[in-house]
Amino acid sequence: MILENEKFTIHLIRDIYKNIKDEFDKVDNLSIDMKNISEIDLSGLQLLVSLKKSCDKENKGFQLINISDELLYSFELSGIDSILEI
Amino acid sequence: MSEDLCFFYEDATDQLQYMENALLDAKDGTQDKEKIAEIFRAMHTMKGNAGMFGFEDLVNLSHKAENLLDDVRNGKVELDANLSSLFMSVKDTISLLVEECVNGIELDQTTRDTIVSLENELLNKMPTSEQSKELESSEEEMIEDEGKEILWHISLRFEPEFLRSGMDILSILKYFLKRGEILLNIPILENIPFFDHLDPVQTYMGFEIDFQSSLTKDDIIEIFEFVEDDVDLIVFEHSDKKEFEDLFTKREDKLKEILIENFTYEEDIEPDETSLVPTSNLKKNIESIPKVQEATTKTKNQPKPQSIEDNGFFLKVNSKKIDELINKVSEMVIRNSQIEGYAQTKDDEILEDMTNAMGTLLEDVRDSVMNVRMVQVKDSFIKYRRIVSDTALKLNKDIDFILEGENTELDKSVVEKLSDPLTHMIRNSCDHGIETTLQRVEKGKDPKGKVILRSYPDAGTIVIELEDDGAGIDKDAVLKKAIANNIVNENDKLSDQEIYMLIFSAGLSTSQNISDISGRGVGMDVVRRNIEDLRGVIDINSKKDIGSKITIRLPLTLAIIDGFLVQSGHSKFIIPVETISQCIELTDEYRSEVKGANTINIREEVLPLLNLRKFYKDNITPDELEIENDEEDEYRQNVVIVRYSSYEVGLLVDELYGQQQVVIKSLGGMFSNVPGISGGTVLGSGEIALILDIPKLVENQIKKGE
Repeated sequence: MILENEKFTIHLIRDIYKNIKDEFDKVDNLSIDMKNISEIDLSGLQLLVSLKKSCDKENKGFQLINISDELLYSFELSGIDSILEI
Repeated sequence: MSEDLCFFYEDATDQLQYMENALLDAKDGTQDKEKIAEIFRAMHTMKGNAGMFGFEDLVNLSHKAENLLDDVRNGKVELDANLSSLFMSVKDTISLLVEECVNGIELDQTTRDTIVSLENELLNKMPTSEQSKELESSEEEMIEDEGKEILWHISLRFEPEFLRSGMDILSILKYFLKRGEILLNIPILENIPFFDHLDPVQTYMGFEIDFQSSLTKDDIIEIFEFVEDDVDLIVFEHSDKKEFEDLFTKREDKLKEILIENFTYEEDIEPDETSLVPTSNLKKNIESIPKVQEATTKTKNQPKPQSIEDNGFFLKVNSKKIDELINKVSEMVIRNSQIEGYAQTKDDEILEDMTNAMGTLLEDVRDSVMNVRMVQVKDSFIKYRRIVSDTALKLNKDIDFILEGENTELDKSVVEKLSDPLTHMIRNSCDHGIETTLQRVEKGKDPKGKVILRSYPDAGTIVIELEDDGAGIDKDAVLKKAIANNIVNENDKLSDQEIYMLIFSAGLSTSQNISDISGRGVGMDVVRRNIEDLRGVIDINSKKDIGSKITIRLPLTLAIIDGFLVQSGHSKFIIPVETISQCIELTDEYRSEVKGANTINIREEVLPLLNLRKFYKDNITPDELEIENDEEDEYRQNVVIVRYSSYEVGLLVDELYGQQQVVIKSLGGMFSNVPGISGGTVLGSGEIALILDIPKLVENQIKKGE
């Protein structure tokens, strides 16, 4: 699935959560295209970690693709890059 | 403006004010260590906060000023009058920069030039040995304070609501990178629930950070100042084993394990130097961490001491929250009076007693909440010192500014709205009131002029007096000018009082020379309008060569007014009582002299008459109109005569109900353009009444007349 928003932040997090949740319930292999996302905050990071946890538990594949440099920097800064296996 | 930016702005304004106050005390130079430390602290905090938001121009300028201040603090440079005035200019420029940064305005060339020249001046004042050092280091984006680096361990947990504070932890981490090196950042993820159970706006994560920096513990705690209520922060030196042990008792059970796994904590086991596997790009080889000096025994670590002294502590609360509370409580008062009314009709004494008691209690609550909005005028009034000192300097006069009763409390919004008019009046006092030193000596007065700003509560109002010991108002000059400008008639007999009040008329300036300080004749009328908007009353007194005194009497709060309830057509209106000069029944005596129904004759004075019903195009039914026409003799019409400045207008209404206290409520943006209505209120009966904005109505009527 492709996330349409530019920001993966607290202001939009409920919508994003809902969109991903719908997809999560449908598929066995979750791949999220982050090409539009240029900004993420703590709420976004948490959501991704939680998603990763659930995918692992339910043996679903989990993949983030087209991660921008800004986003990668945020993952590294917060130390969750290794958890998300990026 | 986002919430955190708002906080930044408020805090910056506070810091700048502290700085200014201290600088004013030190304007002739000072050796006072306390004062210098105050200025330094304010500048330091300013720099830190600006850094967090990435306002680089601000950071650079305040950094350079801070360096010089540090030298002043260490006695390497003396704070003389020149240096003090340089710091004042820096403060002014920072203040400008804050505005521009917060509003996202690009700096213009003039500002840039000012910054460069200030920075050079600051550099020139540094002891020569340090100038070269400073030049070298200024190449870098962010210059560290001198002092040795310490490896800190920072443990962060957040309140569930943290995300709503608007502050993002990532920007704090980015700021860390500017002030030092993050050697390790372990996200604590144990508390993040599975996706099904995730509430995406709650905060679950935490961080354990090893941060190497020359910042002190207080500096680090200060970084979190904006969010201190929402962050559980523990900071200690990494070498302090005991602190780690304490940390493990306060945090998740697994934390010790996690820290050991990440090689940042070891339990009496020899470190395995070869197995360091960084799990994040940010992680650096732990070996490279220089062993920090002996662990100094620090006081036991706690989030932040909350000292509750006898006089309590301060909370920073958004005023909107308080307004909402006032609103709700007021609503309760109204609802309660509805119940009271109901109890009366039911003849139920027990219920009546209960609602009466409730009513008293609710009014107490309302008063207490209102009291929260009250602030001491001190914080706002202190800035006039600067205005007097600047104006005096410009005019080459010697003026003392005295603040009296600065602990008087007034509604915060009133204090803010007073700022412009008071500034103008104070400048006027300095410019027109106080004579030059030479003139004063000739008159045998103290060569030093005095401007006193005094405030005190009086009979349910707050009085603010501005007094000067200057030349006083030249009555004849004012009158001559007013006659020349057609403000009054040559034959009018005016009392002294009335003549003095003329200085508040539009287009009247008696100053011989127009200066850039005051004297364009616009201003005093605006001052009066501002004060009247606050429902205040101005009075003025003056004696030749003794001085003048302007007295402003203000209501304690803007939230409640004494209103007079009337009905016009279908609508009920509230007229602020202080604007009413009299109420009359529109009898033949007056009616006979109504010319074209647009004027009314009262005691030989012709006043414009405004029919509220027609003005607001109340669609009364033809039936009602017939009654009015057919039974004209029995239909009582009332006129409320309202006054605004020297004008009076009669308002034609259908019914007079009487006086009552009402709570002003905003009507919202949709109705903001309705002429002559300033708000609404809910009456005891639950009905809505509109509050008339008399000044606007009168102005409207005058314009129409013209």
